[in-house]
Amino acid sequence: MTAQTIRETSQASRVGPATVGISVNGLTHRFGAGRQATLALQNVQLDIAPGEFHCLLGPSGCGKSTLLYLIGGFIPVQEGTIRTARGAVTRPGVDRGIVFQNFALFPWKTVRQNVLYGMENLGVAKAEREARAADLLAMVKLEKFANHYPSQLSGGMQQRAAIARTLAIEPDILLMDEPFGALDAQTRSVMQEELISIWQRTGKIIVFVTHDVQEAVLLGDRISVMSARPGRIETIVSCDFNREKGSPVRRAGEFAEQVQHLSALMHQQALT
Amino acid sequence: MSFPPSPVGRAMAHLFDYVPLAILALAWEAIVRGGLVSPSVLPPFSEVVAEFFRLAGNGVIFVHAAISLRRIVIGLALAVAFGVTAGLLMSAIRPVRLVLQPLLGLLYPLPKSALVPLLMLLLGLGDSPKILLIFIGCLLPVVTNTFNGARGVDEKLMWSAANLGASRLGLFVIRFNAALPDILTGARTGVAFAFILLINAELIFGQDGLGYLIASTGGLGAYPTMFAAVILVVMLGFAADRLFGFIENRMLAWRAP
Amino acid sequence: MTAGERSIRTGLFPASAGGPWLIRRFAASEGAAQLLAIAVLLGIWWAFSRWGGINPFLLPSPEVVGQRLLRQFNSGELAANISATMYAAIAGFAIAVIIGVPLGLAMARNRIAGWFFAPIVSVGFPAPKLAFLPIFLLWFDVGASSKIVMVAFAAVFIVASATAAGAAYVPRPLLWSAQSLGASRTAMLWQVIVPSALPQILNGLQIALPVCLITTIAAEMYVGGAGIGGAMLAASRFANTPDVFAGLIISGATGLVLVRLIGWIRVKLLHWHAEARVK
Repeated sequence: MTAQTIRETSQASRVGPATVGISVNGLTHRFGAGRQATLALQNVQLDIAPGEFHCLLGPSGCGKSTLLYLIGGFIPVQEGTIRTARGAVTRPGVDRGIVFQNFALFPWKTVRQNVLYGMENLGVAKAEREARAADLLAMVKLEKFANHYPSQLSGGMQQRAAIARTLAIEPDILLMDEPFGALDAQTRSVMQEELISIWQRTGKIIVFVTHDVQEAVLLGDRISVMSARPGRIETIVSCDFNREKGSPVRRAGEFAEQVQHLSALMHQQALT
Repeated sequence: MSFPPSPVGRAMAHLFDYVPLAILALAWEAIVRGGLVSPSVLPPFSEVVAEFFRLAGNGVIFVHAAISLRRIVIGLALAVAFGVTAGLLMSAIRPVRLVLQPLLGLLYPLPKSALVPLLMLLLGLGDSPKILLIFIGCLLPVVTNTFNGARGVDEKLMWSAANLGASRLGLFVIRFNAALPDILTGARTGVAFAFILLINAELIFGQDGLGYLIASTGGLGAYPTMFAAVILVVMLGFAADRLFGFIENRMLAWRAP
Repeated sequence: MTAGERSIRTGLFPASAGGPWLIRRFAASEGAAQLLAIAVLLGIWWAFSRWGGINPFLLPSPEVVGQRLLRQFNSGELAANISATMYAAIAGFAIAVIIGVPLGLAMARNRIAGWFFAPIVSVGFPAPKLAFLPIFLLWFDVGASSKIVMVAFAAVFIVASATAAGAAYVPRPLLWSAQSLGASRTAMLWQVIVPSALPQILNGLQIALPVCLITTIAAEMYVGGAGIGGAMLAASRFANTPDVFAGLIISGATGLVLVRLIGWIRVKLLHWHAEARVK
């Protein structure tokens, strides 16, 4: 997939994952007021194509999570605009599903009840939502743990439950905030592979925040490399070397090159 | 000491934890019978137990216990109902918080037992001043814990709920559920406070109830009865706390072990 | 800390709001919020008594109560009552600390002590301790000693419990580092375990001190005689509502002073702790 310019559609009628992109224009965001204000994001410009896997890569404090939350509508936009094919983003919505690093599962609900939650809110019919929940749980390989509570599951399992919960509402866009940061290395690589296969199957846009260069290069079609103080996108790098069919593994040589290149960039920023 | 993991073994292990109390009872009996302490000051344990069963037999102790417990239950129920509502409203609506928070902060250092004479003066010696006292005294821990619990809910949890299409009511339900552990802690503290305040009020100004029983038998010199009543009060307070803990664990079964 | 978090902490006005620095500082303090609440309460009280809709027997006006307070102050009665109550409360508190802290440490670090005292503390903790007052009166007669014993008895459970909780969970890496640096058992206790447990111990003390005050006042109400509680009991016997109200105000003020005092002590003792930096 290569980067495409997004053609904004004002008719939301024919919207679907194949046509929804994200357009961020002139986004500026401050925390605090007056003299104590910090500039979290400065004049961010970003276009993400439908179906693209886009990584936001940067050190901590560079505003990548803030940008994600703004796209998600969890923080109100101060300056600039964020648009999807469904219109301007002003509040949270089921078209932009989010997955957090700490899973944020409802601890008093079982895995199945968590997955059903969104569909209940959307008024999906009982039979259909039970069926969809069963499918999703099977997809993330949690069908045997459907009646367990989150406290009884490992980190990787909880994250899979969280992903299933978000997919249940069939969002156009998947926003992921360092979702594998709390997991150990082995689980993380398993989850990365599973995520790629989910992405390939569903064709959704994924906006993925991480500070791990390897992860970004492994997963992303395009990577926005961000820097801190103030937060902005330094460069956007394309990782459009082919993925081997059916497998997320990239060709080794180009992978290593890209990782080195970006690591150097990040290292440089960390020192400034 | 270790016990087998069977249900019987677990029960035995549980009982073993309370052996020190049995040791204490034995020591009590020993020092009186042994002449170290005069029985006019400390009736022997066996005599107190006998007296307890006598009172249970003629129903006296149950009558007083029922009177006391009834006051506690009513006062506590009112405190929980008002307190949880107030705490949740305070966490959700800013003006409510701005008004109530300083008032509660003011109430905090006031020793609630200091209200006993005033309430007796204004409302007499019956049920209502005692129930009101329990209500006021238990309100604070319930509101504080509810408020802090509701405010301390993980933001990401609320965002997830909003993301998944929750309505305003839905968000409120999520926040309530997430705050429930804290709410129950506040209520549990309230249980302990309720007992303390009730006994204080009945001791000082009582005409009936267990506190009154202790005070009157003390005044009359019927010490075995007095001791029996004191032990009953302690046991009731303990049992209430345990019961509440049991209910709490059932309601919060989803918690990590 | 975000601006939102700051405003939650200050409670009344967001510290990041504009305005002269001094006003912002004043508004941002908890003390200010409490003073404002007191002022508002006084205002409402005054308005109600002026309105005259409430029987002045039930709700005496602030002026009358103020006069009574002044009279008590001038006659020396106020000072006598407060000192009698404070003496018993603080003496009882001191005894509870002297017994409770070592007891809690023993419970946490010694298996037998822990086993023996655990049910005693867990049964005693939720129990209404004032029920024992008639027993203590029987043993120690009416007077300061029975009060002090009562107060100490009420507080010791809290202190021991909190100390045991704090001392039970010293982080292993801390203990192992000390051991590898050759610390003796006594040194371990005083230089590792106690400082590590100090925040929890102080939690216990902060809860115990107001409890000591409450228990003293309650005990005085039962027995009568000297002290704030005794004065309130006498006033209520004579249907003297203004003096009962005066006693309430004194109780609250004393409670406030004690709470602030122990809060200040905590800050001083824990100046080295991470919690000192969260401000």
